[in-house]
Amino acid sequence: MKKINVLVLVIALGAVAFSGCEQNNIMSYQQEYTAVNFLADSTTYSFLGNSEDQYVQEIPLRINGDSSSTDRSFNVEVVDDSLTTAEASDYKIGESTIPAGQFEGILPVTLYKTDKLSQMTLSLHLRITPSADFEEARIEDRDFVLRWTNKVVLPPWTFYRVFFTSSSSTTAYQLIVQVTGLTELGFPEIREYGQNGLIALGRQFGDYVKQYNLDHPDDPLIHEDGPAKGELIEPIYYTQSKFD
Amino acid sequence: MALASCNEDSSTLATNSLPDVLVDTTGIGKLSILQFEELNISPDISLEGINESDVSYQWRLYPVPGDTVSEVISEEPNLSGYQIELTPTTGDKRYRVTLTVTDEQNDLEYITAWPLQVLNSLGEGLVVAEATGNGDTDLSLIMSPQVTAGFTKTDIKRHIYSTVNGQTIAGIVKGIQFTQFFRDEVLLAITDNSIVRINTLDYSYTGKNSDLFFYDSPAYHSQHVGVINKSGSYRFYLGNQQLSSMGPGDKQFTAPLDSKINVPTEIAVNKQSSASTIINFYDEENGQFAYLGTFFAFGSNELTHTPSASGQTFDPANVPGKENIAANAATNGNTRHLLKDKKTGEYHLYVLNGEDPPAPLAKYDFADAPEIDNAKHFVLPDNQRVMYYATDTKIYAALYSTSTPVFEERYSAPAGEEITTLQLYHASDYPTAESYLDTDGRQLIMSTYDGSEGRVHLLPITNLGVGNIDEANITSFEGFGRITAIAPQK
Repeated sequence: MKKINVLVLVIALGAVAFSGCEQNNIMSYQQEYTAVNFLADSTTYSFLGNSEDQYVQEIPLRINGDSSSTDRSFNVEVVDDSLTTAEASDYKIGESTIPAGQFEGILPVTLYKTDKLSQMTLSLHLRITPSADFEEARIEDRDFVLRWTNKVVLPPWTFYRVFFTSSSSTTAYQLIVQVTGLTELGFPEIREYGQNGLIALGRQFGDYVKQYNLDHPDDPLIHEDGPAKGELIEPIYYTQSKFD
Repeated sequence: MALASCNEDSSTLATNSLPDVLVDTTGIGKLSILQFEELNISPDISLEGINESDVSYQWRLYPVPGDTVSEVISEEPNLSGYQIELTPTTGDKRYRVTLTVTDEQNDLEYITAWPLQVLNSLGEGLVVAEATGNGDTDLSLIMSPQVTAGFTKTDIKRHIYSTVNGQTIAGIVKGIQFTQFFRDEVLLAITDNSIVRINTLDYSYTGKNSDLFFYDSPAYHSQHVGVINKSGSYRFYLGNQQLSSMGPGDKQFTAPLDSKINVPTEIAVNKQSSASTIINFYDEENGQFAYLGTFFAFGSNELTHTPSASGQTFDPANVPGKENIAANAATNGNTRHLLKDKKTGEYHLYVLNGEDPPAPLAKYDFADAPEIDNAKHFVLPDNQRVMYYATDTKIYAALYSTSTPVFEERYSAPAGEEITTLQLYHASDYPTAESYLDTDGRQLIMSTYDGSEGRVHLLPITNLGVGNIDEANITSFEGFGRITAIAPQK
């Protein structure tokens, strides 16, 4: 009985030893594992400073797997859950592909500046789904939430009244952002631009207002809210030699 | 035995010795080279027991400090004549060069690496703008004893702008100003419709038009770019017939001066720090002179018409019907303006003092100036009462130290060469530097073009006040395209 036990043990150890030497081949790349994923999970776009009625938000994607000799298409669906507050008329998802030879692509989504954007932020929950060219995306990279708004939160008017216009209003602020690109004006911006730079930006804004009013004598730029509601927007700086 | 079956068999290592490759780097050390110089490395490589035919060599350059990106630059045992075009290194950052010697028989690689420091080779000299022939401009740099302090040889770096940036400057460069831009030293180059900023550390492009202005203009019809030194160093830009400035603390040009007066290209710029007025010019639309006291925001920074002065040699408020030809300020602040009457075609040189407001001093009749109607280039030196003017082939001097000016021919360009630019040499930091080369203010810089080749000639002036040119000691530099502008840089 003891001999049998030893024999079994030797056979078992030999089996383990030989099986430990088995070679595992490295798995090679297989086309069917190719998938396309989002590179981020969300972004927010503000129409502040954009005078156009629509904007095309480009959402970047990247594949895992190899590039292809042909263009490949992918599918994106809108997930109808609490993250999606936009209606179909608020946006349009464009067509896109992963171009031949490329590892990255762009999903264009046209966002429309509707009236309700002044009061709220719209959002759209997108998800990549399997297509003929791509397998299902990685779970953690298949969803993307796109938000957009036209809401304006007025910043403190402390320095705006020195360089741009004395009264604060949403209209004036939107114009300043549109003309100069300046979304904030505090001590960091004063250090960045300096007094001469801010006077120059103020004059750029003032010249825009003066020229607009010349071009639209029956519809001049006025403060639509704020303490000077209904009054003309009077710039601090403008090119006097041109407009006076 | 079964358990030992997976052990690596190393039993032959002790008996089969592999040959060795030794790369002796003695004397090479850390590599340090001037940008645009050629890199040569000749390490002493000993192949112990390996046939030369069984060895391959590969030199690699890692052009991004700290990155693994590399390119093969040679496959010879010695690296020879490889021109370094990488931008100069800063701080502790270094590029890297590696030599890989491969023993092909045993598939063994022997890698030796050197850190590479690249130094700036673009120092003081003359920046030469050359037309490329397709409407663009490239920049070259001349360094020579006449224009470079402490330099004893001649070194011309050709086409450095396109070499570094991979493209030329769109448009024909017609003016260049070297200046300090915070910690960087830059060139501001203007064409008919642009202003471009270039970092002279490596001649890299750093911005254009609206990138350089707080107040964005719809167009940049550039006329002049320069520097004045009153109340600090101000860079100024004249474009769209308006003046904009960039003060000592400004990162961009500010809004143009608010004025109804249109500023012509021909302005007299007083660079002296003690200047009372910094810019004077003749206002063609209103037929009178005008001036600017300062760019400083808390000074008289408004363009103003020069007041009337009755009973003087001329009334600066009443000079109708003239055309601007040339202007400049003298070291004593006086401003000189060469004007041409639009009806009669007569030329007169008007001189005003540099006070605030300026007052008329003299008016010289240049009616007897030979060939002045054919002149294309005018130079009003600040240090002598001489005006040079050049036709396509000749330089004349108008001496106006007496009440009646004297006109003399001073120089004829070499046969077949057309004069394309003419100016007086001053260092880029004139007149605020502590010292200058002996040639400063004492040589003309002239460029010529013969239809296929452009040349730069340095013409020494032997007698200030008379404007003689020392033809025996002219220095020439060849091998350029058609030259459109020249400027000094530090």
